[in-house]
Amino acid sequence: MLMANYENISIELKNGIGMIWLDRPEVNNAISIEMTEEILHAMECFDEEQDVKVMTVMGRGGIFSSGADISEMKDSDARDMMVRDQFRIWDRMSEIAKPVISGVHKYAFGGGFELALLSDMIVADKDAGFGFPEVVIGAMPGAGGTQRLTRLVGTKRAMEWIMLGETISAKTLHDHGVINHLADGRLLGETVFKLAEKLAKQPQIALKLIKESVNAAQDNSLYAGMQIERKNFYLLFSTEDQKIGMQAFLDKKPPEFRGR
Amino acid sequence: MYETIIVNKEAGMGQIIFNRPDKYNAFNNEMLEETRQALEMLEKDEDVRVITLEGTGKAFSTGQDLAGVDDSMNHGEVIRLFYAPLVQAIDTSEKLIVAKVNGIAAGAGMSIALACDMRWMSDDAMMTSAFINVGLVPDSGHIFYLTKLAGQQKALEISMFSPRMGAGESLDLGLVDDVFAKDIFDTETRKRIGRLLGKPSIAIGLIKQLTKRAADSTLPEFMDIESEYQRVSGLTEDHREGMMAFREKRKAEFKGK
Repeated sequence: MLMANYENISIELKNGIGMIWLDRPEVNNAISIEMTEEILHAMECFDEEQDVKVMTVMGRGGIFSSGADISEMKDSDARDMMVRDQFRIWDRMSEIAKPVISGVHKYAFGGGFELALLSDMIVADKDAGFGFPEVVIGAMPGAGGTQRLTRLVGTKRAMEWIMLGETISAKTLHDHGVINHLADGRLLGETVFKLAEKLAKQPQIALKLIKESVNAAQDNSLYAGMQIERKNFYLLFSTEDQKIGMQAFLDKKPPEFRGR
Repeated sequence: MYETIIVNKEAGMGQIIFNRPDKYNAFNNEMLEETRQALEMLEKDEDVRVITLEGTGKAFSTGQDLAGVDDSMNHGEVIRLFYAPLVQAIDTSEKLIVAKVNGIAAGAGMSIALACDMRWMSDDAMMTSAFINVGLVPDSGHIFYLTKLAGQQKALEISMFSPRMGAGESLDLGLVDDVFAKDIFDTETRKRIGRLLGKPSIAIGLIKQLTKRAADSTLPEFMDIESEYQRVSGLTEDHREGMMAFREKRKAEFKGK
């Protein structure tokens, strides 16, 4: 299925979980443009692959990511940046239809935080740190960070955190609903995979349509969002899994979904 | 490498010695920062399983070096920048940290001793709060730990009147865990450390954290943390060794892994 030889990430497919590992621990898994291309490629392949029900993104070496590779952009001017438009790659990551869970060890700064925020759920080491330190080097988040974080925590908090570029604790983000679960760092992997295994057992088409509907809440009026939800609800009645699920419920048996 | 402290490592023990004997080991910013750095280094060192804090010469530490205190000093900022990180590093460490109160522990010196997991005291040593004598509130977590060790009422009394408490009184109040005669203080405390080193140290570190969580969690929260820590313990080599030794009816040899 996956033909690519990745240089910056590694992948694994196990029990319906498509695992993506940021794999440049020697540079704290700094995210180069090439790495974003590889992440996107792996995500898009997993999205098409029937055997993959859910994806996880984690970092090798006990670190999620220190952020973007600054050396790549330091001398660019605005025209270079626009022509290269490196964030298009990130935009496509958020178009992935299957659920994506980020598991954050130690820290997710800058682009690392962006990557965690664009995934559907975040599980973090309870001692992990997050943040957008871009301002400290005269820049700012560019892959959606100012929009996603603001929608999650509100303008006042997002303003202060992004303007100061300070580290935000996993505990604080958990309190604000940005992080789904905190885990002991030593148990982060198994906590992520436990959640992924639960998702992998769910009816797959329903998960896709739930993802589309929940995300529609960000970009639409309540009315428009509800129309999307309604159509997706009706659409599920053409899936086998809906028939299986409802029959199993009436039979008082656990359902065995087929992903169709 | 360090200017104001001495750091030794031997056989599983990490030793931090406050080393400004001419100032009775009073804290300046440098000593606080170096102590925090040393703790961080020892925390990461897998060979270190128990950490001790003590002072050279006659004192454990007499607290903030008053020579550095003048009208321009922002006392709150000094706590935020130097004392709080040190106290929090001791608190969150997953290693057992023992204060060897070899001599007087006054003011913030007493605070740091109280913040440690255990305190052993030389019979000629003394503890005193001292803050009230210069018109300040006890800081560096002083009252936080004092109320836990001696109760709210005693903490109030000690903070208001700053009695000089000898080893016997300190032991009676529960401020220290044991007292040894001055001439055997070093050999006895070493023996104790040796005993601690024989224990499964990952479990010990997690026990330390659980005893703290008992005070600041609800029961459901506590049970959640407990199950997580038991999973971590269950994955250690020491647990396997302990089970094996039990089956083979021999004494377990723990490695801290």
